[in-house]
Amino acid sequence: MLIKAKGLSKIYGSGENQVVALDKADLTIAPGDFISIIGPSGSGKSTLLHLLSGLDHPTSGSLTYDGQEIYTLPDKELSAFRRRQMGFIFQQFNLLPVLTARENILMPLLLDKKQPDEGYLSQLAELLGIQNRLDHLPHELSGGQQQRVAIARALIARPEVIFADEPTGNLDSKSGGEVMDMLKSIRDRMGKTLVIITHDNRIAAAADRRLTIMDGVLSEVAAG
Amino acid sequence: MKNYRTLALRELFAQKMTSLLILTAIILSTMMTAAVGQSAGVLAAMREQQAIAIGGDRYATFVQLTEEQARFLEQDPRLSYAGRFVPLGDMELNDQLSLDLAEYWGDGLKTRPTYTRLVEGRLPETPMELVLPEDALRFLGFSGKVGDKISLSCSKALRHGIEVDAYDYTAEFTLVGITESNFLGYTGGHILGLAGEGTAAALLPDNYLYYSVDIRTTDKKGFQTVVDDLCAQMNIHELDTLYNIPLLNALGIRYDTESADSELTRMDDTGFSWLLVVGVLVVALILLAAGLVIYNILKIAVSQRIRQYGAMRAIGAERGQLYTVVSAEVLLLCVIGIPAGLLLGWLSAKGILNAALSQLSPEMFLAQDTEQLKSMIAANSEGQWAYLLLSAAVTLVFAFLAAAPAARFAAKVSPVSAMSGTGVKVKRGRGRAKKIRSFERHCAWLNLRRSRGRTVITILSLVMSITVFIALQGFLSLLSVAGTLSEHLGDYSIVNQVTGITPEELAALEVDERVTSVAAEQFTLYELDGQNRPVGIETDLVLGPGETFQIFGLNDRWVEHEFAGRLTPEHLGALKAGEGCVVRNPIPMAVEGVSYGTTHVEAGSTITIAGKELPVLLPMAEAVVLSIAACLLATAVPLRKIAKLSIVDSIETVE
Repeated sequence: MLIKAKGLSKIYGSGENQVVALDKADLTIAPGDFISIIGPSGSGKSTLLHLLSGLDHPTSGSLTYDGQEIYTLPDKELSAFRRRQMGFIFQQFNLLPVLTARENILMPLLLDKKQPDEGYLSQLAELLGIQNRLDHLPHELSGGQQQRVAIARALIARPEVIFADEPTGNLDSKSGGEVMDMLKSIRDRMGKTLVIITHDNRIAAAADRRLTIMDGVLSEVAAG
Repeated sequence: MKNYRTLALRELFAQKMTSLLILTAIILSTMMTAAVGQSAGVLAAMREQQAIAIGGDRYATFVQLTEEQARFLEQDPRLSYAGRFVPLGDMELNDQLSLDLAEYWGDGLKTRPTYTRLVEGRLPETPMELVLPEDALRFLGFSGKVGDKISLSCSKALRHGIEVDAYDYTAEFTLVGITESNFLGYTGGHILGLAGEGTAAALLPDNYLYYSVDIRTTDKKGFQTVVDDLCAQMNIHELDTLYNIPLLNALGIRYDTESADSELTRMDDTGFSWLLVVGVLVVALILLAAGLVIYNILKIAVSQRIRQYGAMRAIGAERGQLYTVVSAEVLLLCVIGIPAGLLLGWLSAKGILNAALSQLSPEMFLAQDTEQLKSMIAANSEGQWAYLLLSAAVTLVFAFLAAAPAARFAAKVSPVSAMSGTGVKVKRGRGRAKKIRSFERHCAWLNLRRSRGRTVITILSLVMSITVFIALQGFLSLLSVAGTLSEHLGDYSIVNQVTGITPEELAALEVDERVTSVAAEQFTLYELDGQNRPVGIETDLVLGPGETFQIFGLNDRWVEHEFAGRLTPEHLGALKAGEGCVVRNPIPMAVEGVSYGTTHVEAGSTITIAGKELPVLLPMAEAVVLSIAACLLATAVPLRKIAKLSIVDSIETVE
C-alpha cells in the first residue's frame, strides 16, 4: 500500500503557549519499506506515528493510503481500516490485562467479527516462540514475551503495514535484540511495510530508510 | 473466546468489588420496585374485589324500567352483561333498618357475591321462595328453620310520581335458604332479601311491576358514551341511572362525575390511589439513588481502565464497540440482579403492604377492619406478573441510563491520550497561590474541584439517602391517624340515637378491665312554648323567640377533658358534683330588623333547672359550632335525672 503524507502539522495550544509538535512533515512510504524514525524525546516522533496511522488528526495536512483519504473517513470505517490494514506495537505493550495471550492476539479479528484463525495463530505463536504461553495472562509473562504477544496481535489480521512505537523501549537488551530480530525476519518473510520509532541508533541503523525528527521537523537521512 | 463482548465478563470477574457493589445496587432497587409493583397489583386486585363485594359486579344500574326498556337493554350488543332484577318492596324492621326484597333473574345473583353466602339451604329458584340473611331473621323474631313458611308485609313505592301511593301487601314465602349477615347495607339502612324469579309477577299488580337492570359495557373506555346513549334512546331519567362508583374507579373507567348519583359515593376509596402515588414516589427515589450508585462506580471503574480502551481503539475498535463492552457489563449484572431482586421483592411485598396498610384506616380500602384487610391482601397475593415485569423493565431502563455516561466516556476516549496516561485534562485556576496549611486538605480540595461532576454526584447520593430516610419518617408520622383524632377522646366512639345506653351499661363499661376510661355525653333539646319557656323541663329561664334550650350532660372524664384548663379546681369539682353549670349563650343577631338571641346568662348568676339551683360558672365565649338561637347549658348533673334520649360514649381501650 502506498502511503502519502503531505504537510502534516500538529500544533497544541495557541498564541504564546503554542507547541509545534510536528511541522509540515512530508513522507511517502512504498509497499515493503522498512523505515526507522529516530529523534530525542519530545521531538515529535510519537506524534508522527499517531498521525501516520490515523490514530490522531493533524492540525493541517493530508494522508492517503492508495489514494484513499484517511482523515475524512468516518470513525467506523477508519476503525475498520485500522483493524484490517494496520498492526500496532507499543512501547508499553498495551495488552488487555483480563484476557489471556491467545485472546489478546485474536482481539483484532473478534472486533472485525471474523472467526478466529487458529491455524495462523499457531503459526505466529511458533514463529515468535510463545506457543507455550498462549493461555497465560499478561502479568504472568515476562516483558519480552508480552511484546511478542503484542507482535502476534499486530500480525493476526494480516495487515500490510506495521507501526511500532519504541518496541524495545521497555525491554532489556537481550529481549530487545530478540524482538528486533523477529520483526526483521517477519518483515522479510511476509513482505510487510514496517515503520519503527526509536531512540536507539542501532535499531535505526537496521532499517532501509532512516528518518530523523528534531523539534517537529522531519528529514530523511540519505542511505548509504 | 468467540465474541469480543466476552471481554465484559472478564472485566466483571477481574474487578470483583466493583461488580459486587453494582450488583447490590441493582438487586436492592429491583427488590423495592418489585415490591411496589407487586403491591400495586395486589391493591388493584383488592380494590376491584372490594368494589364488587360492596356494590356488586356491575358498572351501573338502570331502575324503574318498563318491560320494553329492560328487554331492549338485554339485547343491546354494547353491553357485555345486562341482568334484570325486580325490587319487590321493603318492610320496616325497626327505626333504622328496613328489609328490601328483590328478585334476580337468571344468573343475576352472581353479581352480588356478598349477599349470597349461604349458611344453610339454597338460593331461591321458583316464585315465592325466599332467602334471608341471619340478622334479618333475628330482627323479624323468626324462630323457624329452612323450609318453613314466613309471612312478610311489604310496601312497594315507585319514584317520581309514576304511582302516587305505595302498594302494600302481605304474603307468605317459603324460606329456602339463610345467608350470612352482611352489614354493608346498614349505612343506608337496608338489608337485602332474595326472592325466586317470578315472585314479582305473582305478587305485584301490573302497574307496580317495574324492573331494574344491572349493566356492564363491553368497551370500558366508551362506558359513559354508551350510558348516555342508552338514556337518550330509552328516555331514562337521570335519577334512574345509578353508577357503581367504587368499581368504576377500581377499573379505571371514566364516567361523568356530575351525573353520577350513587349511594356508594360516600364510601371513601381514595386510599388506593393515594397509596399508589406514594408507591411511585418511593420507587422514583430508590431508582434515583441506585442509579447514582451505578453511575458513580462504573465511571470510576472505566476511568481506571481507560488505558485499555485506548489500546482497543488503537487496534481498531469502533466507538460503538467500546460502548457495548461497558454496557454489557451492566447488562450481565442485571441478568443476575434483576431476577434475584424480583424474587426478593415479590416475597417481601406482602410484609411491606401489611406494614404500610396497618398505618392507615381500613375504610380507605373499603374494608371493615385490619383483619379483613390482611386477609384481602393474602387472598390477592399471587404473583402479579404484569406489574412485576413492569418493575423489572423500569429498573433495567434505569440501570442503563445510569451506565450510559460511563459507556460514552469509554467510547469517546482518544487513544493517544489514553495510552500515554495523561487521561484527564486538568484545568486549574490561576488564582493567587495561597499558603497551604494542610497538604492533605489542599489535595483533597483540588481533587474535588477537578472532577466536579463526580463530586456533585457523590454529594447528591448522600443527600438522597438522607432525604429518603427523612421522607419515610415523615410519611410514617403523617400516616399516623392519631393526629387527626385530637377532638376524639378515645379509640372508639359509639353513637346510639334510638335506644340509648343505660346507666347500668355505662357503669359496666367503666369497670370492664379492658377499658381504660369512658367519656360519656348526653344531649337533649327542648323546644320553647308560647311564653318562650322550654317545654318538658322545669326551669326559671325565659328565653327569646327562635331559640332552643339544649342540655349536654357530661361525665367526669368528659368534664376533665373539656374544662380542666378553664375552671378553677373548686369550680371543676362543683361542676362534676352537679353543683354548677357552664353556659353558652346564643349569638345575638338582627334579621330584618328583628333581634334574635337576646338571652344572656351571666357568670356568677344562678339558674334553676328541674328544681335544682345551679350557679353559672363560666360563660363560654368561643363558639365551636355556630348554632343560631341556641342556649347551651353544660352540667354534670347526674345522668339519671335528665329525661333520657341519646348518649354519646367514647371508650379508650387498654390496647
